[in-house]
Amino acid sequence: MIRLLFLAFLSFVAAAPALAQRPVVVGQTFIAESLDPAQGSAGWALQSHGLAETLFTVDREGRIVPNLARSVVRDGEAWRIELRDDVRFGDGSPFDAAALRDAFVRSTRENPRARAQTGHVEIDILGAHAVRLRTELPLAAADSVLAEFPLVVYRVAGERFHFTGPYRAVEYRRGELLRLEPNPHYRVPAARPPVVVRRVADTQTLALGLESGEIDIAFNLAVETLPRLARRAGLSVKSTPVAYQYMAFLNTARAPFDDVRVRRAVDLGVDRAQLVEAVRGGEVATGMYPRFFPFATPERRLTDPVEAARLLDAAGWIAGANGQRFKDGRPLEFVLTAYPQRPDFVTLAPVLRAQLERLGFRVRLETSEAITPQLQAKRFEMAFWAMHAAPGGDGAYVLEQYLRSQGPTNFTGIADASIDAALDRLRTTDAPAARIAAVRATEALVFAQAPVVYLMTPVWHVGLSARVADYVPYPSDYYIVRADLRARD
Amino acid sequence: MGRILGEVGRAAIHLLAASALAFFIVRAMPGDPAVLLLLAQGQAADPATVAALHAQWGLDRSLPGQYAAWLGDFLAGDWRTSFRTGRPIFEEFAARLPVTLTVGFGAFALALGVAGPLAEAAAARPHGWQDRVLDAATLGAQAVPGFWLGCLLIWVFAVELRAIALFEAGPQRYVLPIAVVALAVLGPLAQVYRAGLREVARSDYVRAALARGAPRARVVAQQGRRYAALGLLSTAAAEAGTVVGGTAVVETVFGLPGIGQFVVDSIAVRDFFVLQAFFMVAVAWMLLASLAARLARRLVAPGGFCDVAP
Repeated sequence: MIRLLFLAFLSFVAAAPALAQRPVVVGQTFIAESLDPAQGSAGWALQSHGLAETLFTVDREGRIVPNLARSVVRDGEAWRIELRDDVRFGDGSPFDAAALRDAFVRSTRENPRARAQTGHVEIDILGAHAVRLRTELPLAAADSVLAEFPLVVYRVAGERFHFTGPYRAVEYRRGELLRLEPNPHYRVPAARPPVVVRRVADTQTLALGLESGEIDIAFNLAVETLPRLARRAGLSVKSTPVAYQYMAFLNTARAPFDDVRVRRAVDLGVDRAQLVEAVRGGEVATGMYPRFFPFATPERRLTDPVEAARLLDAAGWIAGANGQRFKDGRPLEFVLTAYPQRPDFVTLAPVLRAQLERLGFRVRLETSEAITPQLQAKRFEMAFWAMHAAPGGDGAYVLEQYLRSQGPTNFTGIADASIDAALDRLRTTDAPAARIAAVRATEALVFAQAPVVYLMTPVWHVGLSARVADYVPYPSDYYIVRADLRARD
Repeated sequence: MGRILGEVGRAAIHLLAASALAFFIVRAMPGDPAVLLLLAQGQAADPATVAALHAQWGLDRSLPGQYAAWLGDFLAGDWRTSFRTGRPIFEEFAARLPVTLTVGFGAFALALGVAGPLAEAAAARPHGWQDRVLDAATLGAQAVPGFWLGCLLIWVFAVELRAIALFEAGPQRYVLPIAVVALAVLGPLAQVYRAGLREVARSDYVRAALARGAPRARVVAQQGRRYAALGLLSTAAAEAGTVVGGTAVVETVFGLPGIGQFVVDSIAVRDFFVLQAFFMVAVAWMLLASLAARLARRLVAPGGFCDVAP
């Protein structure tokens, strides 16, 4: 008997380390296409996987905060960056000014996307942990640009890439999985579990993987799977607002939205609380940005059908006996385009149509498999859209892209001198508080022109096994595997 | 020898025509890949970056110039690099091909293995249970989407029974995907084979054999196999596309990193060279399958069958 007990004890002791080493399996719909951060958008995924880091980062409240850098300050036409001196790469080598220069010069040379904000860069080494950064393109907010994924920090050693994040890669199967172990040189030591990041392209399979016990963190579950998961013992779902704002573009070059009064009427006619209810989660939009960003306009968008009706009357669209509005014999009608890649929009489309038809519009619904080309070609009247509202933690970026007259993705065709002038001022505004005020002022001008109807901030649903029940998701997919990841084993 | 050269020549002409078709169909798709890629990654689609990407990918040249350059490179073995992943497309395909071929050939082999006996049993006993199973399987495969069936199988075997580890590496990972694809292929193969056997069963010489007292099942199987195999070979050649083009759904549902899933991801960002290369691979594969079927038909029936019509 004693012998048996002793054997049982021995087997328990032998098994204990193996149990402790059981990896946390993260299921998500994307995985890094490469371990080379200069290829494509790999830097973004590598950051999300807990491998790569940037000099600055965006915290849970949407603020840009120092990460591998201590500070960045303007130095004439250049920027002086002070680096942390306690950072090491996964192979143990130190992160210093030379390493930063090598990474940035390589990324901006090999990846046009890394040059998008900076152009080519020159870096003067001022000390072991201080550099002067000169960029081909002028930067208004260097910290925001330095928080973007194309400029992650890394070291190339032969065929291998070493990063500074809390994890390092031990196995990589393209398109399938990434096996990670804790980085022993990470600046904040802790008992982190090993991790497997597994790509699961289908969200139904993702939920099934969570139910079968093969996935611990199922990132971005489909809404329809939630009731089923709620009935499974040991599983939990955390829902968090994310930075991917839902909106609808109005084509200002086409009737009826070539009239600002009609656009404003639509904006006032939308009951956003109903939209939130329809997709079972989210927040009413206040503007372009989710409310947790410091530069977001604080007040929710108004719903005022009476004022909307007055604007339509003033624009000459008069309601007939059945409520349908006409002008010179033409009905007030348009096509609303949704796209199936965002299933929420297919749900929201009939709700939005019902709301606008109560105002006297006639709305036809369509879905588009390729919404972006359609928007690019301006072959739409009103179209849903979702995007990350501040990828680098700065509000100016999306305004420049989507609402400047010559903006590269100005799908609505809005061309307003006051908005352009406000964006010009924003480009030369450095101080954080002043930038917040400038973003809000620009947004107020956008509200007046109403080329975009801001709808809601969606929530993402993250399924968790009991092992990782304490995991708190970030409000974006930029940081999924993090230094604070722990497992109950 | 002359016949083989003729076949090769025909295949070359087909491939050349397919290359032009692939190129111009893909280029006719709406959307600029540079803009789509930048937007998909939340990056600035400013004109300078878009122009730099166009130059990097060679999209700033005339369309005929692009076609000629691409075809020359493709034939020389340089399939270019993927816009999305930045890696050589040949390497991307080579890395994913084993997964796709395992599912495709596995499903094909399973479907062929089941279709033969099932169709023979069904032909031997019209309105018997095998006949009904075959009709039901064909109808079911047509009516039930592979996506739905895949999810159902995962739910039963991985979630409820815990009999299969969904993501664990190893042969067992391919069992359910192969079953789903095989079911889709099984129906057409078995139906055609059964129809061939029934046609033979109605022929004069089979009636004569039956009149002499031979068992129906044996007569139909023995006399009809070669004739029915001709139809089966033609259908198998037509269904061979499944091996390279019919696995995308199951790869997505079962999380298998095959070519199908890669191509689906590439369509979203108009990854031109990936789509063109896939089109060429698919056409080449279909030509190969067709050629193999023709050769097999000659082996099965060197003189052809002219005397079995009822």
